Amino acid sequence: MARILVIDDDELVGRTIARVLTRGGHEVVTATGGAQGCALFDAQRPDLVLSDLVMPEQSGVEVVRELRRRDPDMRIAVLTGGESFGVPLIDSLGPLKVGAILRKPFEIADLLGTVDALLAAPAR
Amino acid sequence: MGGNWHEGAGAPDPADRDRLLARAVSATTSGILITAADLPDNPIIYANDSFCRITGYAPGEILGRNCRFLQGPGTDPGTVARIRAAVTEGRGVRERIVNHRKDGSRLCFDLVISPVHDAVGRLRFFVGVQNDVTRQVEAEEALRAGEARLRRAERLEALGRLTSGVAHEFNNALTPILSLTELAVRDVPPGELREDLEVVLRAARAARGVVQRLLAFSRPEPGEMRAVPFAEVVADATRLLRPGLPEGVRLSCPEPAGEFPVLGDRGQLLQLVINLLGNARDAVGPGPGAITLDLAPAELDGLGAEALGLRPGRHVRLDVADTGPGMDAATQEHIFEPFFTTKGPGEGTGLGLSVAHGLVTGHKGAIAVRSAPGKGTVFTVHLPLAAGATDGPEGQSRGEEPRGKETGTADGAHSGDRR
Ligand SMILES: Cc1cc2nc3c(=O)[nH]c(=O)nc-3n(C[C@H](O)[C@H](O)[C@H](O)COP(=O)(O)O)c2cc1C
Ligand SMILES: Nc1ncnc2c1ncn2[C@@H]1O[C@H](COP(=O)(O)OP(=O)(O)OP(=O)(O)O)[C@@H](O)[C@H]1O
Ligand SMILES: [Mg+2]
Repeated sequence: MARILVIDDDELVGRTIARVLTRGGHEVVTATGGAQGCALFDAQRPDLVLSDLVMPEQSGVEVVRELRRRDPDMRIAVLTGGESFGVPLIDSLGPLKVGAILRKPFEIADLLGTVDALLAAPAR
Repeated sequence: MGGNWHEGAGAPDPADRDRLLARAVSATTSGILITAADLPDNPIIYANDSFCRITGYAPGEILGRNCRFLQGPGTDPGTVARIRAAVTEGRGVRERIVNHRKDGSRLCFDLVISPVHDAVGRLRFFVGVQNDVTRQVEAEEALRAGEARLRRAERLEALGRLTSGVAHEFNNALTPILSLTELAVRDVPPGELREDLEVVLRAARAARGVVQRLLAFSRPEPGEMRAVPFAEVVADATRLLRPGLPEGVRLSCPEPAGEFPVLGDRGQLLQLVINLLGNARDAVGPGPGAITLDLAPAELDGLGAEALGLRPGRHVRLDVADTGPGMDAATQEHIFEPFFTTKGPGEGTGLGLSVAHGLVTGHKGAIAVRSAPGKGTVFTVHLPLAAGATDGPEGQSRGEEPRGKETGTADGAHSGDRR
């Protein structure tokens, strides 16, 4: 049982992930953008963050960078629905020590498996 | 006589003028011919040395013949008809015409023909001037081919933009459909409702598969970048395809002259070859027929690389040839576009070649096709060889930082898992 922060601009995706993780025994808070996500991060101190990659206001890469500044050891996974054309965001994740990349749409077992594996590993 | 002489002190007298003009005719680099209009079939009665040099014929092989011996399979009949009309009517004419040298090679002439009349206005001769414009014509053709390639590339890029945008939206939309249906299936007791939900689940997974193929076309996933022995990949692909081939279809793959290490993703490269082989198999049908693979090194110099839109350097070339029905030019124009198919519903989705194109481009290579109705088809892939090729199949993966675990690839597709 862990506290997990989910950041995805698509509200339906956020709700879906929350539902699956809650059923998996976790406590979930959701945000629809980077600013809200960081505020929730400060207020709730989650054990793990799942952030979408392509978001309108702040990209997932920027959000992760922001979170890393607050907590260099936080467990972070990134979600992606495949990127739009252009400079691939996914390539700039390298130095940000992202624990996993999860592709949407996923099987429930993939989501829970990824989350459990990250939680089992010591926070870095 | 046409032309302009300076009149006055030191001007040559008429006899010298003729001698000087004759010298000019023999000294020019243009071909010059004179034909006798009043002899049967308008034979050549004079050819300057440049004409012989350009065409490769000796004077004895030319004099007394009509000029049409220069024409051949590359000559446009419409151009010949226009010249014939002018010559018949005694008019002058200027045409660009494709001829052949004695050795058969192509020769493009800018040809000017002018009639020469005698004092009483009777047509007596024709003078022909031939300028060799083969190099210009070749340059123009290369430019046109380059422009056509660019247009195609731009069209594919626009389609890529569209499909990747659509794919992104659909992946998000499919997330609740897939996950929440999966949850619901767990909760609902066996019965009709659960069966219905399982159908929804199957459909959602199928949709995910299509979206993934679209993404492979628009922007191949980064995947892994290792030195992959391309010869092994090709062998793997033939091993996978061979069992399904009908009796009458021969699949041959000569022993490759090396490993041909290519920097890339083994799963993606395998997918590429399988897509090409699958199309060749479909083209040949129940047979009899043949699918022939060829794998060879290709050193691309500046010009060869530019023609393919590649960087110069060492490449490996894969040919996949089949004896199927071939394709006309109009079909070839569209085969790399997603969802273009000539196969019946349920037989092809039209994604095979667009995915192949995306994968080849993602590996900094080029794919091209040569085909004609009734003449079979050859797909040619060029891929850059891994530099140095020192690191073996277990060479360094791309990027300094481990990218972490990747999950969630569907339907047993290649997952880039490398913790
Ligand atoms: C002076 C002169 C030069 C010619 N030079 C060429 C030539 O270089 N190449 C060519 O294909 N035809 C040349 N022709 C045209 C052919 O001789 C012939 O007129 C043409 O093929 C059309 O006639 P046909 O349909 O009877 O062949 C020349 C004709 C004349 C009168
Ligand atoms: N070797 C070939 N010979 C003749 N036509 C071909 C060949 N390869 C491709 N084509 C033509 O190009 C079209 C597009 O090929 P592509 O592989 O993209 O889709 P497909 O084979 O129709 O469907 P899919 O590959 O998705 O099952 C084919 O429908 C066919 O008309
Ligand atoms: Mg196909």
